[in-house]
Amino acid sequence: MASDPEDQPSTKRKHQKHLKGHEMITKTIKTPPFSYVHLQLISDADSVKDLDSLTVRSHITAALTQFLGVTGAAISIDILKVEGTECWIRVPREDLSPVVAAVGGWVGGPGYGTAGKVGWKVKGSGNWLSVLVGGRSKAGIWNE
Amino acid sequence: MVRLKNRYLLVNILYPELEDRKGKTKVPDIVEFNQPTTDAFTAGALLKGLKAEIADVFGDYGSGAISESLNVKYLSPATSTFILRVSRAYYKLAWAALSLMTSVPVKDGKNCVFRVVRVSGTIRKAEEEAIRRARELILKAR
Repeated sequence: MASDPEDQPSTKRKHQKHLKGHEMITKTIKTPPFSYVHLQLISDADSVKDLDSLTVRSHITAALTQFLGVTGAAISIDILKVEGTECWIRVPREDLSPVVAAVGGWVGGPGYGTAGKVGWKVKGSGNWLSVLVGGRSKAGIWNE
Repeated sequence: MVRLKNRYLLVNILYPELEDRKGKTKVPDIVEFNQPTTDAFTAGALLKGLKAEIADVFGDYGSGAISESLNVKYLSPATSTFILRVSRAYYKLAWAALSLMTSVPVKDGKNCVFRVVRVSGTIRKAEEEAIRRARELILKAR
């Protein structure tokens, strides 16, 4: 509510104090421990079989090993959920950029279980899983 | 013009596997620790071995980071010392890869330890340190 100049100073102050609400405790999380990535497996072949956890694990390890070597393969990745050709993974926050770079640039040739080449499409990444999951529905709005 | 900054690593090769020299003249342990390296150990062999190690441990990212600037500035197999030039941003990458190498990168190379003893921004200080250490080693071996 905009301040009303006709109001007496005392009522205005009381009004604003009442509107402000009571802040009991505040906490700002600047460095959450984990970051989350939403990936989708894409392929130039006709169809990609549905993913399972083991396939996700082996593809991601291959991507990390190629881009970052042994230190890449040592990054702890937790596979949270695998659904169809999409998956959600969790990585330590400081490893988010290397993982996204490695996974985004990886191309798996034939022999990775599919006929043609496969690759990962990074559909989203960020520090907060709720935002990542909530943003799913946004992508399909403008596609008819 | 933006100046490309480098770091010069002075590295010793140490041989901690002291063999039991039966019958041969007893050499002081410190001399055996710092024994000379085989002549097959050239600058090319060192670069090749180090680049392979970096590709293994740090992947494409590591190889790309140091490929432009990695260079052997001085190598002496006799004193088992060399000076390596790396770009300033990634010298720790090269240092880590050196620490993880376990044998001399030649055919049938002996097991050894690569120890970085000085990091400096100019090659002159690295050279002075190499001379100082060689002198100290001679005194210690007496």
